[in-house]
Amino acid sequence: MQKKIIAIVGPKGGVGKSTISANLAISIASMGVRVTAVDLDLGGANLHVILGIRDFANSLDDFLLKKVRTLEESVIETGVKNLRLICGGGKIPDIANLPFQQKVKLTNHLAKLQGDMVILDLAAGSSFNVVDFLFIANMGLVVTTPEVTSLMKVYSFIKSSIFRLLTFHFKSKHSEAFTELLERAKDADANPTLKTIENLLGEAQKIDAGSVESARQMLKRFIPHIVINMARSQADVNSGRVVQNLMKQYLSIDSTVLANLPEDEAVKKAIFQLKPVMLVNPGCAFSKAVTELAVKCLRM
Amino acid sequence: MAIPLVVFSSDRIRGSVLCKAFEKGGYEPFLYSNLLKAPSVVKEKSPALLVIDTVDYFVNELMHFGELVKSLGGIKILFVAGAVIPDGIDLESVHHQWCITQPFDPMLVVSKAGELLNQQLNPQKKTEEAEKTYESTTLSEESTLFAEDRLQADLKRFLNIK
Repeated sequence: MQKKIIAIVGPKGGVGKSTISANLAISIASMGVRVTAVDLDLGGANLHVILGIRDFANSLDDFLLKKVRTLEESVIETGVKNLRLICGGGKIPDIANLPFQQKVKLTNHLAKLQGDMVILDLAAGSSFNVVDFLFIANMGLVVTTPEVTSLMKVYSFIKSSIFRLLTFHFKSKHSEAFTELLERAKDADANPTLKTIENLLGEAQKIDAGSVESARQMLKRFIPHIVINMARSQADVNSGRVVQNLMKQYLSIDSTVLANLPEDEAVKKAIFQLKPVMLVNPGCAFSKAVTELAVKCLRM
Repeated sequence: MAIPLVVFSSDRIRGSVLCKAFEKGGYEPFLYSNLLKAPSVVKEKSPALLVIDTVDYFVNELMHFGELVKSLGGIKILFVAGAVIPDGIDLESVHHQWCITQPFDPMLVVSKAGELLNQQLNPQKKTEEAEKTYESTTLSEESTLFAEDRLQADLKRFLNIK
């Protein structure tokens, strides 16, 4: 089995990203897949808490501070069969702003971790660190709640990611005209003719049709998978489809609504007990929905 | 937060007066005249309500609109008429209400629009008439549909992607 990296992002804080990461990791591990969960929420690591781990000897800090040679040496056991963890640490000031070289090194070591799957629990927001780790993953889950504020952040996050992708792509063509066009497109109010990605690519086509074709192929491969968390009603469930349609219409991105996870008191109770809900209440609605999500992640 | 709605009127002055009244009522109106453009306008603006000022439209335009509107999903429509309701428009599967106003009273139209929107927000307040014209749709489906339209309109406005 080829190693698969799943990145879990939640552009808005507090949407349940780490809860989903932890419980999804447990669910996949229970299916016999050897999983390593990595807490890359560098400024506010708490994945270990949700997994019920109070103390840990090793963390990502050890790797970043070069106390250990390989990332593999930062791994700890979770007590759950097939599931290992790299804790975020968080003792290094300013760690959230990872320098480029360290990011590259970390990326290389993530790919070398033992096991079948790596689950990355990323930070909130749309900083370059978050976006770049999303790009190294085979699959990106974008967690949101159904509230308009959270959905707005999902859209903005995907838009930022697309601009990052296009910037890299066109920079590699060494064309100032592309760079200038991208800069203009960032100010949609001043340049309404560039308000959609399709508009932008249409303009770019006039500069170099070949580069634009490869950019389109690149965007086609970028498929965010939306996960709606804390859904309480059918309207909440449908909210994923709304943002999905907007992304298709304005950002030319094909996304999926991969799961709708219900709001469930059992989750709050489990967090209060400092235990994963998947272990203390595997039969609750949330755990069942996460199990379905796990199956989908394995199939894709 | 202003509720978006689209006003169609073939009379620019009546249309503008209606829009002013809706603005005063806390709505965000968009004025159009060509009824045949309704599907694309609805797609673009995602309004909570369509207001059709039927005065001065030809009957065949309204009849054609009656056909077009069936493809617009669950959109709610307030038809404004003068002394009489024009004949021949098939609105059987459309959730609509008529507002007869002679002489023209734009605030009455705003008030009727509020009633119609309120029916959507509070399904239990649905009138018998609305239930009759919309009996194939359940209340939960209706409010869900409305919530989806509203969410899309809100997202577009806040993200400035109209």
